[in-house]
Amino acid sequence: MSTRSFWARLASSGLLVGVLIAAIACGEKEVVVTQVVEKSVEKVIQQTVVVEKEKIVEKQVEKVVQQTVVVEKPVEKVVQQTVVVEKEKIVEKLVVATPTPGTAARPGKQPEGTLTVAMSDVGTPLFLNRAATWPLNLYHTGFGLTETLAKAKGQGEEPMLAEGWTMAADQSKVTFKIRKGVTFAGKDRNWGEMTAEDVVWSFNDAGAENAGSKHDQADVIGLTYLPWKVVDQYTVEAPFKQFQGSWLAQTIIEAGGGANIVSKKVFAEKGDAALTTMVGTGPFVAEKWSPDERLVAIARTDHWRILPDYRRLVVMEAPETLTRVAMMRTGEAIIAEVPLKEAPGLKNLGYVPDDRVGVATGQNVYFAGNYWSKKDPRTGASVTRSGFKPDASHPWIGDPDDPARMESARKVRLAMSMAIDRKTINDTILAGLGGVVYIGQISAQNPEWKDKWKIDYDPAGAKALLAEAGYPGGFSFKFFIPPDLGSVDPEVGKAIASFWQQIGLKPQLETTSYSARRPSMVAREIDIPWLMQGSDRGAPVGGPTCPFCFPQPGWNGGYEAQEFYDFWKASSEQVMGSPANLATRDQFYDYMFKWQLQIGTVEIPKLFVYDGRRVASWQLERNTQSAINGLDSVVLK
Amino acid sequence: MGFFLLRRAFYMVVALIAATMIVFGLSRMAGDPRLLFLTEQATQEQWDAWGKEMGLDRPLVIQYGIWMGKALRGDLGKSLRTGYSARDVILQRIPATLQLASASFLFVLVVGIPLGVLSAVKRGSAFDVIGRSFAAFGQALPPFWLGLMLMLLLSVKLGWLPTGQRGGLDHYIMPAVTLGWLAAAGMLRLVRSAMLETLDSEYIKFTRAKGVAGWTVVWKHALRNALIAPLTYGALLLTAFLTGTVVTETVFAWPGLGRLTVTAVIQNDFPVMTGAVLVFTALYLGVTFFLDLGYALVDPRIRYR
Repeated sequence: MSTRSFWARLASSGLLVGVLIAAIACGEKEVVVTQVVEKSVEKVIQQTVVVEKEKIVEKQVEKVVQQTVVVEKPVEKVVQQTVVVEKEKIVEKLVVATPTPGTAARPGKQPEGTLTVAMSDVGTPLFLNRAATWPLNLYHTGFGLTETLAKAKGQGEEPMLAEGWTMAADQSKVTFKIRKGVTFAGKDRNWGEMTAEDVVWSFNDAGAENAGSKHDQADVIGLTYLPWKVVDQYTVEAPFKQFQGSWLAQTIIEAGGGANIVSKKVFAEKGDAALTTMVGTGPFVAEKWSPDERLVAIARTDHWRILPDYRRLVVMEAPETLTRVAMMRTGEAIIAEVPLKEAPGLKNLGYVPDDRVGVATGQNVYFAGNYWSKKDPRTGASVTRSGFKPDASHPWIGDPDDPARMESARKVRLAMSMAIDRKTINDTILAGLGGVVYIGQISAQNPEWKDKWKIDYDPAGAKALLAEAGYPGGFSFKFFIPPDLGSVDPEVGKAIASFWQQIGLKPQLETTSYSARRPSMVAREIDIPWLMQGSDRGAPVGGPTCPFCFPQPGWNGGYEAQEFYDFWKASSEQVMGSPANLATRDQFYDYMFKWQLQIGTVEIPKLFVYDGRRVASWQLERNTQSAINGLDSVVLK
Repeated sequence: MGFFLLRRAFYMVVALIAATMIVFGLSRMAGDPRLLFLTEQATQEQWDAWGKEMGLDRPLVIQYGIWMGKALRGDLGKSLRTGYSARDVILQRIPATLQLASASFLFVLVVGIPLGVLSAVKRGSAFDVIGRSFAAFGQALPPFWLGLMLMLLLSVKLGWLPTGQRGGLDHYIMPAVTLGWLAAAGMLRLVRSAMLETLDSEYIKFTRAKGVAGWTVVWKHALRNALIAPLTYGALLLTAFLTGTVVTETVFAWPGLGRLTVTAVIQNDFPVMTGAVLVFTALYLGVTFFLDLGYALVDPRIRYR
C-alpha cells in the first residue's frame, strides 16, 4: 500500500461525494351537531346587514362610544365603526355548538377488519409541536392519532376538543371551554384526561411561547398570540398579540395546520423522548409507525367521539405514483393518494376518485423582480433589493418611480397572461379534469370569484400589447420550473412556455432544484418568471390577503409592494368572511388583476381514490393543506 | 500483514475525515438551512432562535469542529426536518438497505457467475446465447422501467407477488431482480471473458492433460484464477447497492438509506446528509479494505508487505 493508493482512495471518496453532490444539482357515522346558538348568530347577521341603514348606524355608534372606543373621527368614519360593532356582536354570540359523540361502526358491530391506505408520504411520529414541520404535522390528525380544538366542516368549522369558545368584546383574547372526559392513549397505557394544561402546553410549545418552534404554523401562532394561560381545569385563555380575523382557520382547525393537542404529562415524564412517544386523543392509537415505510394503528373502542368501523389502519408509503396505482389494482390498498392523470384509468376500472378534500392547486407564474417596496412595511426601515432590475433584460419588472416603465412592464405581464390557452392546457395535460385560473390568489372556481378578473386567450392581442410595450419582436428570458416540487407540474410549465413562444417570446427553461433556488427568494434576489403553486379553490371564503406582505427573513416569491401589507393588515383585522372582509378582498383581487404580478393558468385538483367495492362511505372533509382526513369515518363493506 | 492493516486503518480514518470536511463544507455552501425551512411570516426572532439552536451563529470552522467532536461521540446532531437524532434516523434505515443489498447481491452471484462460467465453457451453445441475451437485456433495461414492468406483470396481472414494501421473502424478489439484473449482466460478461482467457491458458490445458475431471478443472482451477476481476467488480457492486439504490427503493417503497439521503439533500437537512455520507464513506472504505484482503486469499501470489 503506497501513498499513491492513499490518494487514489481519497480521490475515490471524493468521487463518491462528488456523485452525491451531482445528485443534489439535479355516513353512517355522523357527527350530530346541536346548533344551540344558530338562531342567535342569524339574528346578529341580520342586524349587521341592517347596520348599513343610517338610523341604525347612529345607534350602534352610540353604543360603541359607551363601551370603550373613543370616537374622535369624522362622521365619514362611522362606517368603520359599524364594522367594529359587527365584530363584537358576532363574536360575543359565538359559543359554538357541541357535536354529539357519534359512531362510524354499524349498530351493534365492534371494529373489525383492516383499512389499507397508500400514500406518497406516511410521515413521521412528531408528538411535540415544536418539531411538527410541514407537512409532517398534518398526518397526526389526518390519520386519526391526534385531534385539534376544532375541525373544518363544510365551509366553516365545528368544535372538536373544545366545546366552544368566546371572543372578548375588545378582541383581546379568546376563551376556550375544553371538553371533559377526553383521554390521551398510547399503545401501552392510558395517559389520563386531557385538561387545560395540555392545551396551553400544546400551543405555547407550537409557537405562542417558543420562538424556536419549527411547527408549520409557528410564525402565525407567534404573530397572533401571547402565551396561552390556564384559567381552570377546563378553561383556557388565548390572549392575542395581534388579532387576526382568520385565527380560527389558520391556527386552530386541523385543515389549516392548527396545533395538535398533545399530552403535557408525556413530556413531563419522557422529556425530549415525548417527540416519538405516540400518545394522542384520536380514535386510533399508533402501534408502529416507521418513517418512509408504514403506520399501523389500532382503533380505540373508548373514544369520546367515534367508534371506527374497522380495527386496524395500515398506511403504506409508496412515493412512486404508479406503485400506488398498482397497490390499488392488486387490492393491497383500499384508498390511495393518486394524481389527477391516473384518475380516468382507475375510474374506468371501478374505483372512485374523490376530490372532496377541496384543494386544487393553481399553477401560477410569479413575475419575480418586481420588488416595489422601498421600505420595510412594519418598521419603515429602508430596504434595497438586488433582484429589482427594471432594465432592458427584464421587461416584466416595473419601477414605481418611472410611470412609463411601470405601464410597459404591466403590459408585458398582461400580454404573457393573454398568450396562455388555459383551456387547452387543461384539456390536454389534465385530461379536462382540472380548472382554469386567471389571476394569482383566487381560483376561478372559488365562491369569491368574479368574471371581471377573467383574461381571455388572445394571442393577437398579446402581440399587440407587447408591441405597445416596446417589444414587438419579443425578448429572451429564463423561466424557472421547479422539477421537484410535488405541487408544480413541469408539463404545465413547458406548455406555458410554448404558448409564449407563439407570440414571439424566447423563454429558456431553468429546472434547478427548488431547494437550490429558495435561498434566492428569501434574499429577494430572484428576478425571473417562475412557476409555483398559487390560488386554491378549496380556500374558505374570506380571510386575510397575503401575497408576500411580510419582510425578511420570511420567504418571498419575487414581488413586494406596500399595498400587499396594507391589504393584509386591513383584512386580517376583519372577521373572516364578513362584508367588510370580502370588500377588502375584492379590492385586493382588483389590484392583482390590474398589475398581473402573479398570473394563474390551470389548477390541479387533489384526489384520493377509493375502492367503491370495499368502501361503503367516507366523510372526507375540506382541507386547505390537501391532507387526507376522516379515515375514522370510513365504513367498510 | 499487520503493518499493512494498521496503515490501511490510518488511511481510512484520514479519508473519512476528508469526506466529512468536504460534505460539511458543501452542505453549507448550498445555503443557510434556515432559508429552506422558515416560512413567509418568519420573524427575525425566529431566525435568530433557529440559528442559535443549530449553531449557525458561529464560524464555519467552529461549526465543523463542534460537529466532528460530537460525531466522534456518536452524536450526529438532530434532523432539521423531524428533530430526530440523525444517528438514529440513519441506523433505522440500515437494516432495510442491507436486506435489499444482500438480496440483490445474492441474485448477482447466483445468476451472474454460473451463467458466466457456462457461457465460457459452452461457448457458442444455447447456454452462451441465453447468457449473452440475459446480459444484453440487463444492460439495456432501465431499472426504473424494469421495476414497473415487473410490478405490472407479476403483481397486477398475475397476482403472484406483492407490489412493494418490506415483508416476507416474496417481497424481495422484484426489488432484488430490478436492482441486480444490470449488475448481474456485468458480472456475467466479466466472468465469461475472464474464464475464456483462463481456460485457454497453458496450465489449464496441462491440468486437463493430467486427466483431471472437466468440471473440477472449470470450477476449482479456472474459476479461482479468473475471479480477481469479478471480485473487484463484486465489491464495488456491493458498495453501490448499499449507497445508490434510490430508484429501486422509490419504485418498491423500500425504506432505505438511498431515499433518506436524497430527501436530506433536497431539504438540506445537513445533519442527516453528512451522517449518511459518513456511513457511505465508511462502508466504501470497509468494503475496499476487505477486498484487498480477499485478493490475497484468492490469489496466493498476491501478498502485502
